[in-house]
Amino acid sequence: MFFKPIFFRGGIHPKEKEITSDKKIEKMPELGTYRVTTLQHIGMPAVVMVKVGDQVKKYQKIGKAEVKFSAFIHSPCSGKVTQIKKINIRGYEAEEITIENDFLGEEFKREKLQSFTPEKFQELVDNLGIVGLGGATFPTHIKLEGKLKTIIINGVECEPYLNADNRVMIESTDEILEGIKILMTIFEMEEGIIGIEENKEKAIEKMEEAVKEYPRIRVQKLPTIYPQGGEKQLIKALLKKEIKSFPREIETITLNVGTILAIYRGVTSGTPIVERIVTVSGEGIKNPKNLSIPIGTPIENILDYVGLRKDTVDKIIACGPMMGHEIGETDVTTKGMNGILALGKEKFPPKLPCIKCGRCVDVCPMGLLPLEYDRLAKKGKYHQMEKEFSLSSCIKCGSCEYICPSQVPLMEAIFLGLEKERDRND
Amino acid sequence: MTKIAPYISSENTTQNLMIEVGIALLPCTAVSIYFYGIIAVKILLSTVMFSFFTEIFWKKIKKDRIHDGSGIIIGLILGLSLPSTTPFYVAGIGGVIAISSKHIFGGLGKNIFNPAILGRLFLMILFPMYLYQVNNFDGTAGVSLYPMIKYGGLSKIIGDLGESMFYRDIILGNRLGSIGESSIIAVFLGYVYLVCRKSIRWEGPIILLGTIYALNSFASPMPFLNIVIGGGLFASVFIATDPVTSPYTRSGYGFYLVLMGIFIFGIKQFTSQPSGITMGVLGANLMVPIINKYTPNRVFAKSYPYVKLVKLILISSLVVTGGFYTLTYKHEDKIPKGINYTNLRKYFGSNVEFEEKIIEDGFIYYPLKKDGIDIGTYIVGDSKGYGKGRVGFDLAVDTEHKIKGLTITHEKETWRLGDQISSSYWQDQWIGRDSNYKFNKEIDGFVGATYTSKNLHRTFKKILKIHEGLFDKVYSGIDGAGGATYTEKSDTDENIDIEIDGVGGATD
Repeated sequence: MFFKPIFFRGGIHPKEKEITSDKKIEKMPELGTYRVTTLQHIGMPAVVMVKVGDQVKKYQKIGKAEVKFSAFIHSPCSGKVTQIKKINIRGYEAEEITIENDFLGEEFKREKLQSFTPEKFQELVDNLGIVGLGGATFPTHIKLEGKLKTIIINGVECEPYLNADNRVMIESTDEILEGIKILMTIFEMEEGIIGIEENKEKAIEKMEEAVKEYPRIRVQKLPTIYPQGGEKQLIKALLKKEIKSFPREIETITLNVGTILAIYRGVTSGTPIVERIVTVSGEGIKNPKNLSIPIGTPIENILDYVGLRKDTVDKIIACGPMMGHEIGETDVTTKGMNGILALGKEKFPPKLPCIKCGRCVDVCPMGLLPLEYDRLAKKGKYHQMEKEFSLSSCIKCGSCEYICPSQVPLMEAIFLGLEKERDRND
Repeated sequence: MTKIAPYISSENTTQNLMIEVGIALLPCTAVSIYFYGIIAVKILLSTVMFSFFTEIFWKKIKKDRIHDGSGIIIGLILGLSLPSTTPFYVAGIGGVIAISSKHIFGGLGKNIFNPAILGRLFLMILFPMYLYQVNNFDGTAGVSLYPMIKYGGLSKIIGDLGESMFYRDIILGNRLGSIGESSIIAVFLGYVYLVCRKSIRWEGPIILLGTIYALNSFASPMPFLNIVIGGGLFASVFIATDPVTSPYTRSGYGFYLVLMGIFIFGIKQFTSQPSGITMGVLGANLMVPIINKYTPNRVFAKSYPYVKLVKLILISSLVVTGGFYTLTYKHEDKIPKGINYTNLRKYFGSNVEFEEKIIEDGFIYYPLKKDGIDIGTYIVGDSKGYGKGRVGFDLAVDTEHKIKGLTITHEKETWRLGDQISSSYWQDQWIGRDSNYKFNKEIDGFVGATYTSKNLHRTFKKILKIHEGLFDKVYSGIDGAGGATYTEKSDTDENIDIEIDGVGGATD
């Protein structure tokens, strides 16, 4: 209790709710319509390349990345574009392309990697629309630049409920390792580390078994602490180095296991990201499952497929319960959605004033003072948040609000502060 | 507004925290009831009941529906920190004051001072007869063993009981003191429970008691007794660890407890208080906002803010040394107003005694004595400068009517001409000169500004002449019997006055 091994500072250990850890990945049956949004990644939305009435094939590009900080969007099925409408995603304007499936399964000509050079490889990854599949959805081709020495594979998956990465590691072990090998060869990297939390025993076992053939790749067992899956925290835990903003500072690249699998499939068969593994779980789901879901599938179809307990469910959440966001049944799956959770009515303790116990300070992995943000937000002094308490360092992991005994809305204050900060900078 | 992430929450709540503290207090309560019987029951019941009803009263006023249970805990801690001699109604008043203080500061989480300790302080001021009483040294009745240790008498108790019996009683609880901290074992059980439930940081009590032990090992023959007797043990586990009134970062928390230890030790050692817990805790509470400001954690990928820590150490050492200075310095009140103490000490050293001041011709003469012997005069006055502005100075004159030291206190002379009189070089020139000194333009004057120094010279000469007239008789007797008294001088005051005036006028 006193002397737990310190991999990084702070962190919490939420109650593990790994309902689906032993469930195999299933493929979801094809649906009649898919609705693909053009902003599924961090950065600028993709520009629509098709018109209403166009016939599209599976794997065909339908959204174009015009700037570097963007990603291509591909069609998940063959069919006809029936509607393009404007929507609003997280305050950005984007479009939603509705595709009517014709169930013919016609496939677009896939691209192949022409030569094993970093430039060609980066171009391919860009064209395949690969983004970070761990939830942050950072365009991967931006990471594949310059000199790289170490590759870190993020198999931590520290949020409760989620099991997508866990299952991928168990079921596609060899493909992941092949993907790492390809990347290490192309970029002449020296070391590969796969970080896995110790509660995923089966995945560790399989990975360690497979990794024996590769002398330069090793598996690192990590203690179960949230938010170890964060890029900065993972690098701190594995390499004992602190990065300011990007892993490139120390010639490192971090990739999620899902991303490396997508890269492997892209390099070998030219498949772009049109589907991803999603954990559908929670108290309100009759048959919790790990599903392989085409991107653009409406949430209601998924919930119908797994069965929803209408009486117990309180809210439906995309991604994990710590960092996710609430979604409606009309929303669709995106590249970053690694989980769909139907949470039951949890009884939150009553809200009380902050008693300055300092638990949020102790658990903050970035060494910030979250309770000060709440105090300043109540006074409306948002400008002080960045100036005195370096708000921009916050990774929005939500540990502080999780641990708070008084249920102080710390994340609300932090998001408000970040919003005001962005407004002032504009 | 819909709730944003996280959608799950840990199971610990503020109410649970309070319940945990309550459970941790149970052994102490049980031991106190076992040893003191109905007296302890009365005290505890009255503090808890009064605290509870005061809490309800304040909640009604503020229209706050949620009960966090902190009122009962505060009442219990207050009751356990009181000695057995306290009547139950006094304890009840303490409970009312404690809870009211919390709500006057703004309710749970906003109070600066620990409510229980503030209630206890009020009782110490209002009812000292119950809280300070030391009846007799055989240990039959009394408030705490602590005063006995401080004012002697401990060896007698140990002698009566035998050393092994004495320590057995201390550990098991058959002794005097606050009813809650009778038994070391009971307090320790509470500590272990709180640490296991992660309600308090485990290092807290250790830091506080360690600081008190380390400081007492310089001052007391038995430092161990100083930490176990006098409320230190109980306070370190249940009072110093109060989350609301302690800093929130780990480094700040440690600093706070060290500071509290220093305060407790200082108050015990240098004041009339038998034990410094109450005042020490309140003093440390007062420092919490400053500590919070200067001890943030190191932000990820940024360097530790050492500058802030250094600032904090400077501020708190200033507070500590300031407090220490005021507590130990005894002569300050005897220094007359208008004397610059630094200059005085520079010329005559410390431990100077003052006599009645004499005002002559606009100059103030302070005759000084050291160990009953005259050592000179300290003169405060001002003079004409070059223009309209006056030049203020402090002049020290010894018993042979020679200048012992000069300090220009204020001047408005011409820049780089007359204002050179402020230089210590020029001022030190005057040391050793008497009233017969002839003004030397080369040495004393400045090029282009002879008037300033000339006027000053004239004034000094006048002062020295007056000084000779005033103290000639008194100081000439020093070589002999040295028994010249002040009364003689005051008789001759008027005569000299007239005489000097004439001389002074002639020189002009």
